[in-house]
Amino acid sequence: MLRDLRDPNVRVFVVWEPVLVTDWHAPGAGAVGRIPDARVTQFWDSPRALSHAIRRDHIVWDYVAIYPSGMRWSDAFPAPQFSGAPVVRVIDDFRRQLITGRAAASSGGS
Amino acid sequence: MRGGTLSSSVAAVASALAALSCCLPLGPFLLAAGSAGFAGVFLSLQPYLIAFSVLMLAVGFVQAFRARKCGRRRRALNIAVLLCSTGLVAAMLFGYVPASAPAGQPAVAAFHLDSFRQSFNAAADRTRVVVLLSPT
Repeated sequence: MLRDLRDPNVRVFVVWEPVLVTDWHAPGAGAVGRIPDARVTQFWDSPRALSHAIRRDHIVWDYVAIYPSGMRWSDAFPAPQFSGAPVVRVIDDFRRQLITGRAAASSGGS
Repeated sequence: MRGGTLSSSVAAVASALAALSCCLPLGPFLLAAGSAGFAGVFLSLQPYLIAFSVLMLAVGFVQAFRARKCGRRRRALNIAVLLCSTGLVAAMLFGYVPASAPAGQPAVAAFHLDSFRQSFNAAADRTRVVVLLSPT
């Protein structure tokens, strides 16, 4: 997906968190290596702090969200422009939203 | 999670029983494996539990070395269990160390909400994508 989108003005935060019974350790080389893009920063969130910050009533995982430029996180975690889960089901919508959003941002900035 | 807890509990009970049995140093091995299972449930305690697992393995090695009066079968069983426990704990130790990030990326960092918020806001001039995934 990121290979298709060469726009450097995209920053990706990948947060790994323990959800399944088998998630008793930080992501291994196989998991981390699946996202080799230089625009990505990866984290290991063992207490699932980000999931709690997004939603308190259940675990947020296998989840992707887009935040447009200009949006800031002040008190509560901001509502995304687009979000969905599981990733495999929303990947097409996500791709469309990301590309459309970037195109709009680029044309608006020029 | 429930399965891990159950297996850990079973391991703990089994280790107590094994500790009472003669000439079979299963206790430390099972305790080592048991605490490994607990590590999945109590991630915050993981470093201590892994250390405990290593300690129990060391005790197991000492007991296995001392248990020379046992029959050949028992010794073979001891060694088999010892090797399995060692493999399990070694896998846990390697798993506990986060993998290095791919080239061009910063190291995989332990997540802290405040520093993540700063990073998120620092990139406010760009479109940001946040992905939450399970390692397995």
